[in-house]
This record gives sequence, C-alpha cells and structure tokens, in this order.
Amino acid sequence: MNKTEIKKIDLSIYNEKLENGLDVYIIPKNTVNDIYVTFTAKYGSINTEFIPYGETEFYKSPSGIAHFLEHKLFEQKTGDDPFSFFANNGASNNAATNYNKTYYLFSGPDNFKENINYLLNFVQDPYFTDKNVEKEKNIIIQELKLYKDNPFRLGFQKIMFNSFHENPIKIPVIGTEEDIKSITKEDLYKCYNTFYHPSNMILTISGNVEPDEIIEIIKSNQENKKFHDKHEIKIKQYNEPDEVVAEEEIFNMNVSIPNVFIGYKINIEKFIEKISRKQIFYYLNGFLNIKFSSISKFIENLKEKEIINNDIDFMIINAKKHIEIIIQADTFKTKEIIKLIDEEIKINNIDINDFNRKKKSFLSSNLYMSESIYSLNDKISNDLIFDNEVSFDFYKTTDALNFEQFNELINNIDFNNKTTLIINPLDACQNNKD
Amino acid sequence: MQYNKVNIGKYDVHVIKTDKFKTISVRINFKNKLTKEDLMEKFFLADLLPFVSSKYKTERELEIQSEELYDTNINIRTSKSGYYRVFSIRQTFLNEKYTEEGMNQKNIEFLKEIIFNPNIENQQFDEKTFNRIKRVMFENLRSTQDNPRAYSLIKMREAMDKNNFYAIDPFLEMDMLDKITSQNLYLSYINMLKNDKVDIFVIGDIEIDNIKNLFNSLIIENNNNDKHEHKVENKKFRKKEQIIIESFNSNQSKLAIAFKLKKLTDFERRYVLNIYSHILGGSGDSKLFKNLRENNSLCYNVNSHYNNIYNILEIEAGINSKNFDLSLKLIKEEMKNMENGAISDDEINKAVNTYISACKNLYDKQNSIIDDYLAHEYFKNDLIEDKIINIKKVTKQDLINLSKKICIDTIYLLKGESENEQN
Repeated sequence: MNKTEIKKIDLSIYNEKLENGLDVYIIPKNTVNDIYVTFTAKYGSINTEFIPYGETEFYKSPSGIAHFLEHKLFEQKTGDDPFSFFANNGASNNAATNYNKTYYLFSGPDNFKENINYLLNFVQDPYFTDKNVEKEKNIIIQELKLYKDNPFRLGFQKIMFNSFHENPIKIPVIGTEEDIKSITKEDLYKCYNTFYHPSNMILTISGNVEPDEIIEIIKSNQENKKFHDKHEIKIKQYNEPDEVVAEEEIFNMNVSIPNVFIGYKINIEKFIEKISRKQIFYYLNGFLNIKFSSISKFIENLKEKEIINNDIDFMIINAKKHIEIIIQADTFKTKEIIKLIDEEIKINNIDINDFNRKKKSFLSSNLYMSESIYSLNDKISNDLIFDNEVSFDFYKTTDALNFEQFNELINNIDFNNKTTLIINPLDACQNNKD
Repeated sequence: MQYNKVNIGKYDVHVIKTDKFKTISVRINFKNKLTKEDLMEKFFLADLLPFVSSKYKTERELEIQSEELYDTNINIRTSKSGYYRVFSIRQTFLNEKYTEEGMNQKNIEFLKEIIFNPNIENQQFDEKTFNRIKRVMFENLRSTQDNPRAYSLIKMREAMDKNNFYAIDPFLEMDMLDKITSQNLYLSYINMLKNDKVDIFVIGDIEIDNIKNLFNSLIIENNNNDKHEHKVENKKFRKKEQIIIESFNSNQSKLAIAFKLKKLTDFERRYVLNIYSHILGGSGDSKLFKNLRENNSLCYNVNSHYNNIYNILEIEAGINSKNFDLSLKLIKEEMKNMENGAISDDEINKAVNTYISACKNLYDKQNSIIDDYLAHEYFKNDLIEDKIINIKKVTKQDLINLSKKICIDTIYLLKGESENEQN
C-alpha cells in the first residue's frame, strides 16, 4: 500500500490498486468511533451514450438510468434486504447518484468485516427481473414529483436544460418521466456490465480503522470473484457549442416571491493548458464569493436599496469543456437584478486584501472539512473523477494560489453566454411589482 | 475526555476537555418559561442579534471579521423545549494550534461582543437594522408556503391543537411578529440577561483556567431558580380522529398524521418510544417503508418520528392523493399489528443496535457531546454509557404496552393539484 502523510493536519492516506483494477483508499482517523465506506462507480447520469461491454455500436440509454440502476442494485436474488442487514449490525446504508458518479455507502462503528463484505457483494451481484424493474417505476416517479415541487431544484434543472445543446448534463439526474417508464432489465444489465467493472470503481474507507487489517479483508473478498476482462469504456463525446439554447424563460409555480436564476456558460478549454481545472474552480469560487456573498459592497447595496432581503446563492458546475455558473436570488425586482448582476460580474475590482482573506478562508474551510470522515471520503472520489489524482495538502494548495494568475483568469473569462429564468408566483397580482 | 462544571458567579460553565478535535465549540443557552409572546420575540432576536453589533456596524464588517478569524461560525436559534423556551448561541472555530496564536481568545471575544454589546440608542436596537432583519424574516416565513413538507406539518400541528405549545410556529404568528417593535425587543433582550437560567458549554483542547477567565464577569444576572419539568403531558384526547384535506399547488400530495401519547413512563419516553418509532417508520428497513414503498409502490418517502418532550408521534409520506385511503389503511394496519404483538426479536435487535451505534457516534461531534450533557442538565437524561445499558432492556411486551398508549388525533392531507400532470 502507498502511504501519504500530511503531518500538519495529522492525516495519512493509504492507497492500493488491486489486481482486478479496483482502486482502494483508506483514511484512518482514530479519534472518531464511526467508520464510513463508499463504493463508487465512475458512472453518473451524464454517461448516457456509450459502447456497451461486448458490443461494437454506440447505444443510447434512457435518461435517469444510472439512478434507476442505483435503486435496483438493492434487490437481492435471495430476497435479502441490504437495509435490514446493515440495521442488524447497527449500521446505516444508502446510495446516491449524481452527474458523474454512483455510490453505495454504509457507516457504523461495529462489525466492519461483515459490513464491507456485504457491501461489496450486494453491489457486485445484480439481480434484475421484469417484475422488480416495473415496481420501481412508480417509486421513482414519486421521487421526481417531490423534486418538481422544490423551486430551487426545478430552477436549477431548467437553467441546465436551457444552457446545453448536446451535453447530457442538460437532463436532470433522475431522468424524465417518459424515459423512466421505458427502462427494462436489459437496459440495466447493459449499463451495469459496462460501468460496474472493478477497474471503473473506487472503494474508500475513512474513520476508525487499521489499514493493514482491512486491505486484507478487501483483497480476499475480491480474489474470490470472477469478473470479465478489463475493457476500455467508450463514451460518446459531444461537440457542445458555447452558445446557450435559450436566453430566457419565465414560468409560474407555487412560490411566495419570484425566484431569479442566471446561468453563465463558460468555455474553459483555453485556460486548462495553463491552470488546472481545480485551480479554476478555486479562483472562480473566490471571485464569486467576494462579488456576491454578504461580504461584498454590491450585495450590501442591493440590500440597502431593498432590491433583495436575503443573500444570493451561487454554484459552479463542472461540465467538461464548460463550466456553468448559476446565480440565484429571490426578489420582486426580477429584471433589475438580472441587469445589475450581469453588469457586476463583468467587472474585476477585487483587491489583494480581499484575495488574501479568501485564501485564509479557503484554508479554514479545508481544515473544517478534514474533521469530517464523510467529507474526506467524498473528496477522494471527486478528486479522482475530476482530476485523476487525490490532493490533501491544503496548506500547499493554498500557498499556490496567486493574485496574478487569478486576475489573468478572471479578466479573460467570457461572461456573454447566459440564460436567465424567472419563476413567478401563481398569483398574477404579485407579478406586477417589477 | 474530561467534564467539569464550574460555577462562575451567577452562571454555570461546563467544560469538556478533549484533544479529539481541531475545533473548539461554545454554546451559551438562555432558558425561561415558554409563552407565545416571548417565544416570538426570541425568534426575532435570534435573527437580529448577530447583525446589530455596535462594533461591527454592517453585515459586511461582521463577515470580514469572521473571515479574519479563520471562518468563525456563529449561529443563534430559538427553540421550544416543553414548558420552556431556549435561546441558544453556538460558535465553532478552529483551534489556534492550526491557525495563529491568540486566535482562541479573539474568537471568544468576538462572540461576547456580538451577544453583549449590541448597537443601542434610546433604549432600542438600531432601527434601520431592525427593519431590515424584519423584512428578511418575513420573506423567509412566507416562503414556508413554497415547501409542501414543512407547510403540511405546521398545518397539521395547528389542526391538532392550536393552543398546545407544540403547535406554535412563527409561520402562524406573523401578525404577532409584525407588532414587535425595536423597543419591546430590546426590553425582551434585557429581560433575558436578567431573568434567564444560563448555561455555557465549551468543548475542545483548551485549558479550564483560560475558559474561566474568558467567561468571567458577563453581564448576566440569572435570577432564575425555576426547577419545573420540561415535559408536557397530553390531557385532551380525541374520541374520533379528525381528517383534514387542503388543496395545494404541487405535484405531490403530503400525508401527515399526528398521534398523542398517553401517560408514558420515563423509560417509555426515553427508550421504548425510540425503538417503536424505528421499527414502525424510522429506517429503510421499517414496516412502513417495506409495506407502503417496497410492496405497494405508493411512495418514495415515508417515515415516523417523535417528540418525547411533547409526547407526540408523527408519520409522514409523499403520495398521490388517489392512494390516500389505501396508504392510511396500510399505516393503521401496521400499527394495529404491532399492538397485537407482530414484532419480531430481529426487528427489536436491529433497532437497538442502530440506537447503540448512534450513541457511540455522538462522541464524534462536538455539538452532539454538548447536546448530551445539556439534556442531562435540563431533563436529567442518562448520559451515553447508561443509554447503551438501558436501551437493551426494551422488550416486546414494552412495545406492545406502548402501542396501547398511542392515540390517533389528526390526519392531514395536502392534496397536490398538479399531481397527475406529466411535464
């Protein structure tokens, strides 16, 4: 096992790639009782078009299938229920799917050996039947309806839909109702056989464990299993234009105050040669924070003028050669805020003090993060999926951030491809306050 | 880990010394008898206090200072605890070992500045800030209507018994909140410093003497010797359940059911109820999850939870309203079956093991350790070691006995008007 030590924050990371290709990471933290394990397939909702294992032609899967598959892996041939198994051992388990990964997890302080064997076994032994696939559809459609009642979630989905032409990131992780209804067990096996090979998976263990002991448990579990040969996964690449699909949309739903969303679609290809994707994220995050959090004069001013009352939110989404920035605000002055934010984002007036304070804050947030075995664990699979390497030396990463590079990036970003969305209340009288 | 309770003049400082964490957490609790009026004032005060500092005049200055202190995190919340109201101030910051020397003291000074040195003029809080926070608060309260789950629970509790402390919610009291002025909020604040019971908790790798010095001579009078119990017993029970259906513009309907618990023993409230609720609807392995979701595909989420201070059990599910009758029937059947003894040893073991794991994991987080000592201070709850011993004593017969003390009260359906649209 390779061991990397980061003495300053009392952290060690162990890594070994098993013969079957499974990448195992262990972060022992013996000051806590809990143990958290994630078993991650590098397969998310955006991997919709690919050449299935053993075939030669591209196949387009229904949207939402990665998430559907996640639900169905809990189905066991024996009729056993993983929830029941883990509860019996005082552990809790769950699973989740996002754009880029699907992961199965458990956490619990006791019975580690049994728990990890069970997790590996249930994920590596699929059992799909026409009947169990059919019964899942209404459950997932109820989940979809739950999300549709959440204005923030729905707004986010619409911005992505209006921003991207080809990139499957335009469709929500859960898929469309029509596609969910069309999924068959054959579809599920195709996806499973292609993406759930150990060489496309990461196993991460964090918490109260001894690395030498547990790597043996994992090895002996994997040695006894047969997998098909490693294969290269071919996923369709898209030629995504820089322009958005639709520049604006307005619709009504049950909200008490209009929700405004602005999505900026930014091509980052030209920067990637000089700055890493990760650094682009750090810089952009710092920039947006200084510009649009409660620390900014701009926001102070908007509050003063009663254009907004609450803070505005922003997020940055990784979409291959593009980055999507989504800014969200609640206000009756819908048109005005779009104009003001759009003007503000194009001005780089950050001074070195702001920048240095953000560096401090960046270090702090990573130190806070390193206290949580759950966040540390998630960071490993995210680092691997987005950067192909794991980095934990926060002091070093922070030191490497510099103001010149920051300015060069920010000054050269093109903020001209944007889409806006206004969610107005159903009550028409409230719409006229703009 | 070493716990010490030190009396400093009029208040107690509880120090939990441990080197397990990179952070230090502080909690200051002000506690007093609950009245609706006072509760609303303290809800307001919790939102206002961080932003009305006399040293950090604007939100921006406050944020900048908090970044200078390596992202110190302060939050204030008001909650109900049976017959009491608790105004709770929490701070977490990085131990100076990981940042800069002197930061521990600076962080605690910052917290004290926020709590004890507000911007006061003519016996009232700064009016401009007061008005701004009021706007924010009202905007947030109104947005409860955007969240069908939160809305359905509030409305269900109101329908159950709107005079019960359990049902009081700021969303339902916007008229009362609107009448609060900067003057009476200031009086409420002063009153709190004079008349509330105060407990201060500090956890982390920090010396007791340092903490004593930092929390010496606060302007707290603490004239409160009230030793009344927190828990509220139900006195009125419905002979027949009430069913309330309200329409809502949503894609999914929400079913919420409330039950009142009748004269539980302390052992039942603290232990049996937890196991009961876990088996019924507390996990992905529960009776309700299996029957409603897995066997009948009626929902994505269904669960039960309880409040053992107010003696209430609740069940909620997101369904299609055409399945309302069937869902309700299945829920009632599962509960009836439990009353008739359909509880396996396996189910009890699972619930007990889950409880024990949760107890062990409490020690992994500073705030849960504080919660544990606080519950001991307030309700004389057992500490973790005793909890682990006692939970194992719960038997099937205990669960059957508890089942008979659960009285259905209100069934509330928030009916989604757009639930059959496919869009």
